[in-house]
Amino acid sequence: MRKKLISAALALTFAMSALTAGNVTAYADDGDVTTVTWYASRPVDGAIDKTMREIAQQYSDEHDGKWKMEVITEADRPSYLSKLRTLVAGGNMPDIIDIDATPYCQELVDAGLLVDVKKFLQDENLYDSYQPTALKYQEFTNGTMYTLPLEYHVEMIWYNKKIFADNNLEVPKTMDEWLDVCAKLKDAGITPIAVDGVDRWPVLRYLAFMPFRESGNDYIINLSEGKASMGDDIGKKAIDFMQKIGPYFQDGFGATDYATAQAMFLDGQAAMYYIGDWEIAAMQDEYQNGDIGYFYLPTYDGAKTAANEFCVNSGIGMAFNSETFDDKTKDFIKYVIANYGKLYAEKDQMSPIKTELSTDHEYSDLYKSVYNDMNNTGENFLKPWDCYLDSNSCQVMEDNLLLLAAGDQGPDEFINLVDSAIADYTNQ
Amino acid sequence: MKMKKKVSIIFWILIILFLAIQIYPVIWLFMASVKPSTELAVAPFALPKKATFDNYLSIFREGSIFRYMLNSLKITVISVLLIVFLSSTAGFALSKFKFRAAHPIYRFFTFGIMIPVQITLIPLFCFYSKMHLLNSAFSLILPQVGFALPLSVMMFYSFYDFVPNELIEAAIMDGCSTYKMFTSIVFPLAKNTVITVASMQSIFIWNDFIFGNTFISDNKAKTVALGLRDYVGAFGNVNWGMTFAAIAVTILPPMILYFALNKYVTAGMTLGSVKG
Amino acid sequence: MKGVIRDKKAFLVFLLPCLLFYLFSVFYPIEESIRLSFMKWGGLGAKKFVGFQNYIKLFQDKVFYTAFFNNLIYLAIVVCMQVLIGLLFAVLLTYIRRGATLIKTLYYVPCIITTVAVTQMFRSMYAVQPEGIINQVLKAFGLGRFATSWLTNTKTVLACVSIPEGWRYSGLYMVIFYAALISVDPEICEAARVDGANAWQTLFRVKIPMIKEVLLLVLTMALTGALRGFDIPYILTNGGPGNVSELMSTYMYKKAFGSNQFGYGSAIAVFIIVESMLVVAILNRIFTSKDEIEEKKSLRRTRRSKARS
Repeated sequence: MRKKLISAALALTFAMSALTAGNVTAYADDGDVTTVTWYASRPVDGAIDKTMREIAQQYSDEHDGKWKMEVITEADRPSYLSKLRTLVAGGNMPDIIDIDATPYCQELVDAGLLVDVKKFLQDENLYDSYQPTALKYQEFTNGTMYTLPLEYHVEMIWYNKKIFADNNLEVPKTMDEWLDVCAKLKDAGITPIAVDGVDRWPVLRYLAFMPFRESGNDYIINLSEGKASMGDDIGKKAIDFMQKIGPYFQDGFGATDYATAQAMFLDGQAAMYYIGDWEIAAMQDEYQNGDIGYFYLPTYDGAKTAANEFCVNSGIGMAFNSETFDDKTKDFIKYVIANYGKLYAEKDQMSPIKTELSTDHEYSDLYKSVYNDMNNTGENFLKPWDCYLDSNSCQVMEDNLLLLAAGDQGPDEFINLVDSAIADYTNQ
Repeated sequence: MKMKKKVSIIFWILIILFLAIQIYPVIWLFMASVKPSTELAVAPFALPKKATFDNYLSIFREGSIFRYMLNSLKITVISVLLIVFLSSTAGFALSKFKFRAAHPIYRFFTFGIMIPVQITLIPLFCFYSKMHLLNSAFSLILPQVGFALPLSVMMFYSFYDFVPNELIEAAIMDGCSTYKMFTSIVFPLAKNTVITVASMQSIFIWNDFIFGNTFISDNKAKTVALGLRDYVGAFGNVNWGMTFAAIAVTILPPMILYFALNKYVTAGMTLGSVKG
Repeated sequence: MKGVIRDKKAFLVFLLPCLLFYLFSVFYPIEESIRLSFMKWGGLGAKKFVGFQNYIKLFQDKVFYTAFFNNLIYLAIVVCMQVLIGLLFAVLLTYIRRGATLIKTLYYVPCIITTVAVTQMFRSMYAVQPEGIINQVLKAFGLGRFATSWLTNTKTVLACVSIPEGWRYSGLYMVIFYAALISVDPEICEAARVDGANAWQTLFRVKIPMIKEVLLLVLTMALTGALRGFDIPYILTNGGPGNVSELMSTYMYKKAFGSNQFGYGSAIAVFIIVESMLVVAILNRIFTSKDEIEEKKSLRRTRRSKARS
């Protein structure tokens, strides 16, 4: 009797753990309801998330609920990317994913896993409905395109007008003036720049500024392909700039997170802060009160890129699993493209799809100002380096950049580490 | 006598100082959860100027935190039941049976104590994705239970050593079957060890980050530690106010569990570990 | 063979479920790690056998050595904090009559708090701008020259990622020590006092030796807990700045799941096992050798006294 009881208990516990093994996420045809899974890296309840859900709901209603989009969200980008890799490695790529045109994305393309989005847009006559820069940003260096943009951003340097006025400072036009402004602020005992070091990417932008002014994106393309060295002229200029501007960041910037850096700027503890238009909601009140303003990346005489060319991007793109991209999905994507622009812009966002500002929504001055700037940018744009570098080299560069900027590492070691990491990748 | 008084004052100062260090985080946490974001970032240690419960309201409105708590609860309960069941029986087999293999097998279990959990991540990940087990509760339960076994077996084993052999022999003489002896005599005696093992492991499992971070991506399967990352915005901007409010909500269950079982936990440690 | 039951079938029924579970969840991954460490695999396509290439690369990798030694320092800090703080306050608590239970319960609280909260709080505490509480306190006591950015200063960062882990679980070990100390028979202490031993002597000569077994258990638990250390360093600095606070586990995670080098990551994993076994073996050695010495001593003593009589 007892024996039976024990073996029953044993069976029960094992059965319990087996029962909980359900929950597999994959493309599923539940009866006649089609479910498409989107593995997304967009902030939960953010504008993109909301817009896409609204559109999916609308579309689902129009199809009597026979169609469903399931959104799986991992907003934290590094975790998202490592999980995406692991999902793909396990052969469980979702129907729709978010990805930048990185070397890893190229690997997915080479493995035949992704849909050629450029071809899709051209076939459907939708290519011209997008902002050209937004699409160009999504391209690989060879001109092919496998990702669809959902956002459109410009990055600028925000500054505290009062601090600038108190110290008789002008908005800098050239890189030297910029450094000069920083020096004067620091002498006056004010932290010149607040930067988020925890997420690494904001610091990496500073390294990319000089090479962009010197060569557009050519240098980073060559560097990522092993055709250029971090120790080349341009690389050295980048390092030099990094070492010059690093001391103007707040103390211990490597351990300051995004929210803290931004709060420091908004609270008047730092004079400048580099961030994109996606934060205009946070900047809105101060901008309206005339407390803060913004300027774009300074330049210098003889720079290859123009003053109206800086970091414009269309963010992480959406890519489609070639195995599950059928007519149903195609129809949905066309529906998204037709409706996305208006809905997204009404959430005070810049849309990658050409959109006339609708009259039934009140746009703020700041929004309109940035909107105009974006329509007047040049042809070139700074593409973040993390889109070009393979993940390992990028990690090595970002890790050591904090040391370089803080003055804890010399240029030679930095050059050496970056070059050998890239060589490791390109030699494969 | 005066000397003694001085010493006791120093004692109390030390104890209260340490107490402050230990419970400060909880106070800080609740304070942080009622601060507006900018204030939290620039004055993280000051008292809130004006408490706001917006963070809590948005969390409750959003609601997914409860699903994460339910997931964590499910995983914790099943894991702990398995751990207690498996280690109490194995500990009994190794301690009270007369077989030559028992000791080497016990050593084999204790060997597992020194294996760090991280090494399972890559292999288990490959295994789960092949078997379509990613995002399942099972994917977390398996390693949680496996790596809790060595210590738990050790604790039960130590406890059973203090159950006199005579008691077992007497039961055998009475014609009691081994299974009945275990369920009605030995296991009830181990009550405190059970509580110790269960309460310790459940807190570890509830707070697990590394397994969840690797094996779970689906919102539906997220556990508490992962759900706290829902408040990450574009490009890494974290809404800390909401995160801390969510943390404040999610530490309540283990807190209640601990305060409720506190008496037994200590008792279990006295029996299970001291006399081991 | 200390047991008394000879029922072979029951032995298997009791043992096998646990043993099988243990084998599958712990030893299958070890075997797979070793196998994968001889492969090259980027997550896509087929795995390629490369022999010892990953290991050769490992031994030429500077970061690996940094991580290896960092891990030892991390272990030392975490274990010392947990055991010493745990023991100290357990002892203090034994001298308290009123409120001990409540205080003990409250000491335990940090164990319950999620890592994300612990790390974010420490991040704020360590900061210079806006000024964290540590630097504030230093300045208040006129020690402003020691104020630094704790998490980006290459000299302090490793200790700073170790401390939260040490602090967090010291309450747990305190509870265990306390339980052990109060279960020491009060008559023995009373006897020692009658013999003229003062409070210190009673503590160090009588009480602590009596809980030696618990000390070993706590040391093992603290060590293995620290060897599993990952989440606090991973979230707090992710090994940075540079690789100054890199641990073996964070480095493995970066390589495998961040850079898709699963084979190389597995080679690091194999070394984590080796390092852990090494550390635990040393600990065991220290304790058993003392035991053996004492056993021999007492054996000699009894022999001598026998010879005399």
